Amino acid sequence: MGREILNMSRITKIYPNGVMANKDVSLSVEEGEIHALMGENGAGKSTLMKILFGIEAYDEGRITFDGRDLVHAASAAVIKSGIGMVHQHFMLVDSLRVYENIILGLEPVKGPVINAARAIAETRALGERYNLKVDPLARVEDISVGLKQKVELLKVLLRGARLLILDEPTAVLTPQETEELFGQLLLLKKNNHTIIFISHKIREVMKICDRVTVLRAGRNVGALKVAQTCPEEISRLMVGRDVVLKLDKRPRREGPPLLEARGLSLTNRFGKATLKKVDFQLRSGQILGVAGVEGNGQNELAEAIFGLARGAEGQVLVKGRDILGLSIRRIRDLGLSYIPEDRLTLGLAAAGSVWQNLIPDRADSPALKTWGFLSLRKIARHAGELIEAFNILCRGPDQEAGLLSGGNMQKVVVARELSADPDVLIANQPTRGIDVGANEFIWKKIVEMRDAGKAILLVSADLNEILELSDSILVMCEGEAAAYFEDAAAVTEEELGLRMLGYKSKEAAAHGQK
Amino acid sequence: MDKNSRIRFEMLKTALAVTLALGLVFVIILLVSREPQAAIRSFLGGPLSSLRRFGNVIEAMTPLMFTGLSVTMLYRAGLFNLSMEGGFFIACVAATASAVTLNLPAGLNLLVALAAGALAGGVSSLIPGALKVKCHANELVTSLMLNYVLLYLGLYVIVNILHDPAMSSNYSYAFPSNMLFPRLIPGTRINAGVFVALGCAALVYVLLDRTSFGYKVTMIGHNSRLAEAAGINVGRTIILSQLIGGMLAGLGGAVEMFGMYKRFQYQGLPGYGWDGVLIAIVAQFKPQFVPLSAFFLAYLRIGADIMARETDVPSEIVAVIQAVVIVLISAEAILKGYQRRLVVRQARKEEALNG
Amino acid sequence: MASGISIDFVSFAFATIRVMTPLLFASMACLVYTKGGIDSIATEGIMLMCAMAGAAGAWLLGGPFQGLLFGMATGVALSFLFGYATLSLKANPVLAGIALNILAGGLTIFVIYYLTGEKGSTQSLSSGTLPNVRVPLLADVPVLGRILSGHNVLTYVSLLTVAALHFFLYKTRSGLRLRAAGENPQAAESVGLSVTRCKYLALFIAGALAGLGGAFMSLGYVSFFSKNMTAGRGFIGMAAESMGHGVPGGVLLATLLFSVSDALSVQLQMMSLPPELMQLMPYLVTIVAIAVYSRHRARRRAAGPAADPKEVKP
Repeated sequence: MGREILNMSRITKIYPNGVMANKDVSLSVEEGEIHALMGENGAGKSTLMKILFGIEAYDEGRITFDGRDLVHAASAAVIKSGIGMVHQHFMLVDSLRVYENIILGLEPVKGPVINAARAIAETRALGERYNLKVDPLARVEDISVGLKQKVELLKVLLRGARLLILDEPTAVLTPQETEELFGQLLLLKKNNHTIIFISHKIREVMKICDRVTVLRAGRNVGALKVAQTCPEEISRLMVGRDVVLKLDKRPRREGPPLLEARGLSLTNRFGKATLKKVDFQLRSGQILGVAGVEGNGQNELAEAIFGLARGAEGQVLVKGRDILGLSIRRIRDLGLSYIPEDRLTLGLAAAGSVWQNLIPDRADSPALKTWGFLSLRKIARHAGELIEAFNILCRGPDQEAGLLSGGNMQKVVVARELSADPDVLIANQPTRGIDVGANEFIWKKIVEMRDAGKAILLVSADLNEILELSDSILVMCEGEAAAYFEDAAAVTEEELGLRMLGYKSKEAAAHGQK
Repeated sequence: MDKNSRIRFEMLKTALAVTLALGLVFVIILLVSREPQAAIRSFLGGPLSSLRRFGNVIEAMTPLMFTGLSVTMLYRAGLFNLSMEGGFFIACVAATASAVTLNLPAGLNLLVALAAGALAGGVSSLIPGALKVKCHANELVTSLMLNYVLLYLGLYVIVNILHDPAMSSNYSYAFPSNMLFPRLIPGTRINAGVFVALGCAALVYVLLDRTSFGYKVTMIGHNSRLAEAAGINVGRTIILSQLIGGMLAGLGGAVEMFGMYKRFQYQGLPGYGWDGVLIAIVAQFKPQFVPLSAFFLAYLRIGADIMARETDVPSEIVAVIQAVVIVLISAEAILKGYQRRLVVRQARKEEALNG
Repeated sequence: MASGISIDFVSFAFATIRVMTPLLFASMACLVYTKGGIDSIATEGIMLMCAMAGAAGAWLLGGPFQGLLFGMATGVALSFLFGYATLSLKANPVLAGIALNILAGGLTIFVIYYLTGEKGSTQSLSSGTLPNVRVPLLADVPVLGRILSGHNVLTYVSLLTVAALHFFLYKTRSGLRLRAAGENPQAAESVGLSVTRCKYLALFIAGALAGLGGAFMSLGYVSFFSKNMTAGRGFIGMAAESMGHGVPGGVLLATLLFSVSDALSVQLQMMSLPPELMQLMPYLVTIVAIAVYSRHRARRRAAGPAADPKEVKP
C-alpha cells in the first residue's frame, strides 16, 4: 500500500442536455486499498467511473493509471490495462449461460468453435479461487441478483483486473449477501487487488474501506482516511447538511385517516413476494415516511397503492373505499396524486414541452378549454402560474422538458402532482438526484401540504429526508412492514438503520410494531 | 434550446436533406443521360409549363395528402402501424362495392360510398392497433402482413363479385356517373377531392393540436408510461387514434376513386401509403404542413413523368429523392455536433449565472 | 383417381420446396439481423435490388454464377448502407428500412430501363439460370426422390444455411459475440467487444443471405428480373422470424408454413378455387399466430410489476 495507482485530475463532464455531471473532480487511489467513492444519488459518482472506464467521454481533465496516461481510452484499452468494473445495472446478456457471459470476449476456442468444456472448467476454477461459486451452465435470466453480481466479479477477475470498480454493489443485496460480498472483497484486497467502492451508505464504508473521496453535486468536496474520520463528518460532506436541509416543522395536527392499507401483498413476475401483508394507516396532516434499503418493497408499495403495479391483494382504503383494481383515472379522481421514483420514465415526457408535461392528468378539465377545444391561452396561463409558483427555471412553457436540469424537471413533476390538489400524496423518492436548492423547495412544499391537512406517504432511500420530514415512520424489510414508529422525532438514525437491516431488538419491537 | 430555435433547426435539416437529395439526383442524371440539361429542365420546370401539367400536380397531391395525414395520425401515438397502404387499397374496393351494388339516390350514394371507404380504412388500421394494445403484438409486422391480406381480399372481391365481364382486365363495373366529383378547372382533372383533403388537414390539425384527445395521443407518443401514470386511458386512446388514422387513408382511397377514375382498376397496392411516410416526415408529423409536403412530392412526381416523356431519364428516379430525404431527416446524428455546441454553450452560461 | 391425388401430392411437395427457397433466405437474413439487434424491415428492398443485380450481373459478367456473386455483393453493400444510416447517422431504423424499400422499387426499374429499354422485365437479356441438381442415391428413392431431388442448387444451399447458421450462432466465437452485442450492446461493450464490428458482421451475413434470396428469384426461380418480383418475401421473412421465436429450427418451420400455403394456392388455382383467398391465408395465419404468441409472452411477463431497478439519469 502507499503507491498511487490511479490518478484522475480535474475531470469535467457536461451531458448533451446541459447537465454538468462532473466539475473539476480529482481522485487519487493507492495500490491495494479499498477506496470509497461516496456521494448522494446524482452527485456524479457513476459518471466519474464511466469516464474512467471509457464509457462516457469527458470534456476536460487527465487520467493516469499505473504510471501511464489513459487519454480518452476506449473500454477495451482500459480493460487491457487492468481496470475492471462491476456496474450498478449488471452488464449481463440474459439469454446466455453464466459461463458464456464470463468468457465473452476471451473465449477459448478449438478452431472456430468455442471450447465449452474448457470455458466451464475455467469458470469453476476461478470461482473456487476467489470463493465465488456459481453454476456455469445456468442461464443468467434464471439466477438471483446476488449470483449475478458474482458472475460480474468473475468476469472482471478473468480479465486480470488489478483495479476493480464496484458501483453501489450493495444496493441490490440482502444483508447476508452484503456480508458475503465484504468477505470476498477483503479476500481480493489480500491478493493485492485495488478496489474502488462506490456507495452512499456510510456504515458500509466505515466497515471495509481504507480511504474515502466524497462528491457532492458533481464536485469533489473531500478525501479522508477512514480511520481518521467519523460517520458524522462524511455525512456532513455528502449532504452538505450544514448548508440547508434542516427543516422547521410545526407540530402536527392530525385528522381522520385518509389512506389505509390492510394486508397488502404483491407477487412479482418471477413469483417472488415483494409485498407481504403490509398494514398501515395514514391520517390527514401526517407525513408517513417509508424507509428501507432499496429493493425491499418500498417502490412496490407505492406502485401498488397507486394502481401502477397490478395484481396486488388485500385492501387499500381511501375514505373508506377500496381502490385496489380501480383505474388510475378513478384513483386520481378520489384525491390521490403520485410523484414517481424515476422522473424520466413515469414522471415526464422528455420530448414534450414544459406545458405539455404540466397537464396530462387534467387534459379533460373544462378550465383549460373553450367551447370544448383546448385553449392554448388558458393552458399557457395555467402553466405560467405553475412555473412561477414552483420556481421552475425555464425559458417559458414551450421549452422542451428534457432540456431542463434534473432539479427543474423534478419541479415540473411536483408542480403537476401538487397542483392537482390531492388529499393524499404518494411521494416516491421526491428529491432523488437533484440540487440542494430544488430539494429544499420540494421539502417545503410537502410540509405546506401537510400543514394544510393533507396526507403524505413519503418513500425515500435518503434517511436524512425520512428523519427530517416524517411525522411517523414505517420501515420496510424484505417486503414486510418490519417496524412502525408513531413518533419519528423519537427515532435515532442507528435504530432505524438496524430495523432496515432486519434486526429485531426487543424494545423496538415492544414499542414500535403494530 | 427553446421552441423557436428547435423549429429553425428542424427546418434547416429538412432543407439540407432536400437539397442533398436533389443534388444526388442531378448527378445521376448527368451521369446517365445523353441530354442532362433538357432532363433537369423538364424535371424542375415541366410542371409549370402548362395549366394541364400544373393541374396534374394538384390531382396527384390529393391522395398523398390523405395518406400523409394518415401516417401523421398513426405515428403520433408512437406506433409504426403501416396498414395505411393496405387500408387505402381496401377502401377503394369498399367504396367501389358501395357505388356499384347499392342503388342509392344521387348525393347519398356518394356519401355512403365515402363512408364505406373510410370505415374500411379505419378497420384496417384498427386491427394492428388493437393487437398491439390487447396482445402486445408488434404492430410493424402485423400491419405489413395485414397489407397482403387486404390486397388479396380486395382482389378477390373485385375479381369474383365486382368484375365487369365487358372489360378484359380485372376492372369493376363503372361507377354511376352522378357520383363522380365534378371537375373544377377545364383542361385539368382537378376536382373537389382536393378540398376534401384540405378540409381533412384542417380537421386533423384541430383534432391533434386543439383537443384533449389529440393532446393525449401526442403524450402517449412521447411517453406512454407517463400518460398511463397521469390517468390517461392509454389503450383506448391508441385504438381510437389508429382508427382515425386508418379512416383518413380510407377516405383518401374513396375520394381518389370518384375523383380520378370511372371504375376500379388497380391491379396491386398503389403505394400511396408508403408515400405518406415521406410526406409525414417532411411535414415533421404536423398536419398543417402536410399539404405543402404533399405538393412537394406531387411536384417531383409530375416533373419526373414529364422528364421521362420528353427525355431519356425514367421517372422512377424520384424514389432516390424519397429515400435520401427520409433517411437524412430521420437521422439524428446529422447536425448533432451543431446542436451539442449550442447546448454546451448554454450550460456554461447558466453555470456562470448561478455562480 | 387415387393415382391422380398422389401425383398432385408429389408435385405439390416439390413446389413447396421450390417456393420455400427465397423465403428461407429471407427469413434467415431476418434472423441474423434480429440476433444482431438490427431491424430487418429493409430485407424486402435489399432482396429486390439483389434480384435485379443478379440478372444484370449474369448478363454483364457472362454467367449465372457471376450474377449470383454480384447479387450477394450487392446485398452486402446495401446492408452496410442500411447499417451506416442507422448506426452512424442514427436514422430511425424503421424509416430507413422503408426508405430502402422505396429506393429499391424505383431504382431497379430505373436500372433495367437503361439495360433493356423497357421497364417491366429483363426477359430480353439472356442471363441464364443456375443449374438444377440431381441428388445421387436420393433421386432413386421412390416418391421421396421425386420430391427432394432435382431442385435448384440454391434450394439445397438454403437448407444447408439453416444448419450452418445454427452452428455459427450457438457454437462459434463470432456467433456468441454477435448474439451478445445484439441482445445487450452495453454488456458487450463492457467487456471490450466492438459492438459496431459485431453489428457489421450481422449486416454482412444477413446482406449476403438476402442477396442469395434475391438472386435466386431472377437466376433460379425464373430466368429474368421483373419489377417488384420479390413481392413482399422480405416481409414474410420478418414474420417467419417472429413466429419462429428466433431460433433457426423454429424459423424454418414457420417458413415451411408459408411455403405450404403458397404452394397450395397454386394447386387450388388449378382446381379453380379462388386463388386470392388461398394467397391471403398465410398472412392471416401469421397475424393470428403472432397475436397469440405475443399475448402469451406478455401475460407471462406482466404477472407482477416490472421490478427491475430503473436507471436514474442525471
